[in-house]
This record gives sequence, C-alpha cells and structure tokens, in this order.
Amino acid sequence: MNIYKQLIGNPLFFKWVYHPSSEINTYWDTYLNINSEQATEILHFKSQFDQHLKIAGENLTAIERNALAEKIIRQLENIDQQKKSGLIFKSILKYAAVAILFFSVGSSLVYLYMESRQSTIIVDHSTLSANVQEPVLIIDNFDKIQLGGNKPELDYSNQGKIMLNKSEVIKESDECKTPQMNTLIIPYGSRSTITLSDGSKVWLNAGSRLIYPSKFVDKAREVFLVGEAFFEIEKNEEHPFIIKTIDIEVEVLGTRFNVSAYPEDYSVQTVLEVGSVEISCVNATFFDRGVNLVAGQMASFNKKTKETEVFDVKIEHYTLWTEGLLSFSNIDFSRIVKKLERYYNIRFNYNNPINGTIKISGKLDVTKGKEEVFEYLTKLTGLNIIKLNNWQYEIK
Amino acid sequence: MNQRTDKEYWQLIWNNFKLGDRNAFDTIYNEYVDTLFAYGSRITENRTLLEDSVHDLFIDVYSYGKGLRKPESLEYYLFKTFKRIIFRKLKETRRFDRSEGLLDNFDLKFSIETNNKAQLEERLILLQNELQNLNAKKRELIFLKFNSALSYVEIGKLLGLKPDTVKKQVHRLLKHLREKMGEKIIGLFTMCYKT
Repeated sequence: MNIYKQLIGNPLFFKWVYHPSSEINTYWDTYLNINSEQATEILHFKSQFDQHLKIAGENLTAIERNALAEKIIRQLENIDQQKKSGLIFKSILKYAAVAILFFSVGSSLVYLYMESRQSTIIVDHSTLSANVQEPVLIIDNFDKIQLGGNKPELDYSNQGKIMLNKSEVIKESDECKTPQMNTLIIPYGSRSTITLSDGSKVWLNAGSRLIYPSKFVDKAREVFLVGEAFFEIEKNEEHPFIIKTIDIEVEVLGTRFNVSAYPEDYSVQTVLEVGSVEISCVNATFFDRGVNLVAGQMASFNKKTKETEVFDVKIEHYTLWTEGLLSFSNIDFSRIVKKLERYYNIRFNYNNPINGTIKISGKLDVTKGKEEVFEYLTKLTGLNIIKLNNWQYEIK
Repeated sequence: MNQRTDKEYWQLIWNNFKLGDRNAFDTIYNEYVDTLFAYGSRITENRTLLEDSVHDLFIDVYSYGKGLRKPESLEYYLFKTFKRIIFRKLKETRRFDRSEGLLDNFDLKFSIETNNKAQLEERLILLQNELQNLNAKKRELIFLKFNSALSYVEIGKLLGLKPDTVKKQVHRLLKHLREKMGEKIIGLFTMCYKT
C-alpha cells in the first residue's frame, strides 16, 4: 500500500501534524523507529503540511481558556457536593483519616473569604514535580528545557531574554506581543532562583512548581505556585503582584515574604518579613474578606476547615531555607523530617510513628552532607537514623 | 504500532475524570478544548454560545454520561455531544427562525505559509475558492480529518456517512485540490497520489 495513503489513513497522522502532544510524539517516534526505512519520507511529508498548510480559525485566548476551565471546575465541584450530601458519614470518616494523617503538621486557621474571580492556571499534569527528576523549564506547555544542576538560576529581566546561571542565554527575546507562559518545575533535591521580568526575585524550594509569564502585561502581575517559594517583590502600586495557589491568593504591592503551599501539607502558610500582604481564600464560602498580615506574622490556612489563623512567628524559621539553613524551635520532628525528604529527595520510615511528635529546636545547615545533618539530629532527638538504601532511611 | 494504545490511554483518563479526578479533567480539557472550540466556531460565530457549549459539554458528560461503555473513543464522544449541544443552543436562539439551514455554513479557511508573498496570495485565493465550492459537509469532513484523531468510521457517524464514503471523499478531495492547484500547490498532494 502506498505509504502516503497509509499515513493519511492513520487517524493519528494529522493529530501529529496539527495537534502534537507528548503522547502523540512518542507514538510517532516509535513508529519511525520501526519503519526506519520510510522515516525520511514520512518526516518530509509531515513537514509539507507543517510548513505550508495551516487551517485558520477562531481560537480561545489563554485567558478565556483558563477562565472557562475555572468555571467548569467550579460547577463540577458543585455536582460533587450534591453527590456527597448523601454520603456525609463516609466523608466525615475520610476527613478524620486525613486529619489523623496530618495532625503532626499542626498549626492553622483563620480568615475566611470569598471571591468570585479565580483563574486556575491549567497545567499539563504529566509534568508534575513528582514525576520529574531534574529541574525543567517548560515554555508555553511545549518547549521543555532541562536546566541541569540542582540549583539553576533564571533571569527574565534582560529585555525578553532568558538567562540561565547568569551566563547562558537559553532563549533570545522574541517579537511576539503576547507573553509566553513559563512553568518551572523543581523536583525534590533541587532549588532555584528566578528573577522575573519586573525585577522581582523568587526563591523556589524543592518539590515546587511556579507558573509565570515571560513578561507582565496585565493590570496585575500574576503567578501560580505549587510548593514553597520566597518572594522579594519589586514595588509597583499600579500593578499589584498576586500569587495564586490552589487554596489561597496572596496580593501584595512590594514586599518580602514566604509562601508554603505543598499539596501534601495540611495547611498553606504565608509568612511576612517586610511590608504588607493581603491573603484571600480561593473558594471561601463564609465571609467576604481577606486577611492582612503585618511584618513578623504568619497566616496559616487550614485546608480542611478552610480557616486561617494568624500568629507572630520568628521569621528566619521560615525564610532561612533560601540560604540552605533550616531553623526551628519547639517544632514537631516530623515537620523537619518532611523538609529533609524534600531537600535531599529521600524518604524516611518511622518504626514508631510517635517519634514524629517529639518537639525539637535548633538550626541545620542542610548544604552540608546528609550524614552530618543526620548525626546532629540523632544527638538532638536521641533517635537513630538508619540507612536502608540510597533513598530510604529508617528512624528508630 | 497501533492506535489502540492512544484510545486506551484516553479511556483511562476518562475513567479517572468520572471518578472526580481534576487532573484528568485538566488533561482532557487541555487536549481537546481548542479543537472543539475551533470546530464549533465554524458552525457559529457566537463565542458566548460556544463557551457555554464547552461548559455544558463537560458538565453533561460528567453528570449524565453513562460513561464510555461502547463508543469508539473519547474524542468521538466529545465531538458528538458537543455538536448536539451547539445545535440545541442554536435552536433555542433561533426559535422564531427555523428556516435557516444550520449546517449550511461550516466555514473552513486554510492559510498557506510561504516566504514568497506573491505566490502566497495566489495559492490562498485558489485554495479558498476551492473550499468555498465544497459543500458544508465536505468542509466539515476535511476539518475533522485534519484536526482530530477520529477514524473514518467515527467521522462517518458524525456526518451521517458510510466509512467507505468518508475515505473516498478524503482521497478524492485531496486529489481534486491537487488537480485544481496544478503546480501551484505544494508537492504534498502530488505525493499522496503517486503510487
């Protein structure tokens, strides 16, 4: 059979030409490998379509696309609520289980808020930080750039150029007016700093993901965070800076603060070092107001109760990680363990879970080797940390 | 090499979506929303109606769809339901104007990219004319063929045609365009038909 007829007959051919995705590309890579003698012809055939024939037409803008997704998701949640109302008992059990699981994470609450605007930024979930081994930058959901190393530095403040580690230009500025969406994924075991196009600086902690435009053009400067980051925002009263997370939004004009919003954590914590921030809950249903923090305070949003509590804290306990230091006082051992898991990309098992509730205080220099840090913890807690293999440890 | 894996992949994502997995929703949404919107925009220019239709599509299939028990693929299921929803909405807005044949205007435009500006105009006009001369159903067929992973059988079902007819139409259309364009059109159509 004629190879071109065969290609046209394959439902995945035009999908590959006009709507490529990683799955489709993988499929065709395999196909080309198997039919390697035809590969040149096939690729040529594809490029003829690619380069010359485009179907013009209406499209949703990125904003419409996100807003619509948001609207649909909210409606889906409503449907779930209705379905759930018949299953209250079951869901109470579920929440109880979640509560027990996370009780050690402690802290929480206060401020309820509701707000109708919220634009979820939809991302490709095949690239969640958990599935990624080393730092990756994704531009417009398409270009994947492996950054290499475990502490990449990105800089967007040079007229549209993207600089890596101060020296390497990984992308020249382009003429296109609409900014591109960038997704930076930092897996466990790595950290990163990013200078955004407005000069604001972001430290991204291990196991985190930040989505941001290559340049800010809208009224508000918006970014989306999963995980933990420390922000140093350039002041601009005309253009407020908004950090969106799955549960809360933090709005600022210019200031320094830390946001910790790991999906697996029980609470979302915002700690303010300088200036003022306003925090609001994404899907709150009770009161229509946000919480204002002043310097030295932490707002802890409880994901289960949807409540926020504000208290005074020692700032460096929440910000020293940017310098590779962990500082803590009277805190559950399990919280430090969780942080170390992310930092070193390892896992701990407890032979007795109660040990996770031991309260400890101190300062750890995590830039030193694991062994040194563990030795220190051993002294601090009186527990033993035993290496099972390269990435698993047991606490006895 | 089979397309089954692709379908099975989407079947799996679909099942997760039905179980309330929002990641699965994201995946489906990201994959199909642009194509569906582009498809719909050729049936009606009313953007609000289209956005509402996309919204209703996901809500409908989430709350009522008995799932994908036997349909050929998720993509087919989405197109079919989406088309039905658009038509229902159009009927509502045109309650007093039943005379209008709804699918008389499946509006399909190609753009051809080349470095040679003069050549571009010529090709574009030729192609445009050719497409204008096709009936709505054929334009829809071309769109689906180029923009989806639907099989001939599925396209046939959407258009109310036999799979064989679809296949013949696609081949005939490409051939027809090639003949009309002569040397002016890029080599691709020629390539399709040299045996």
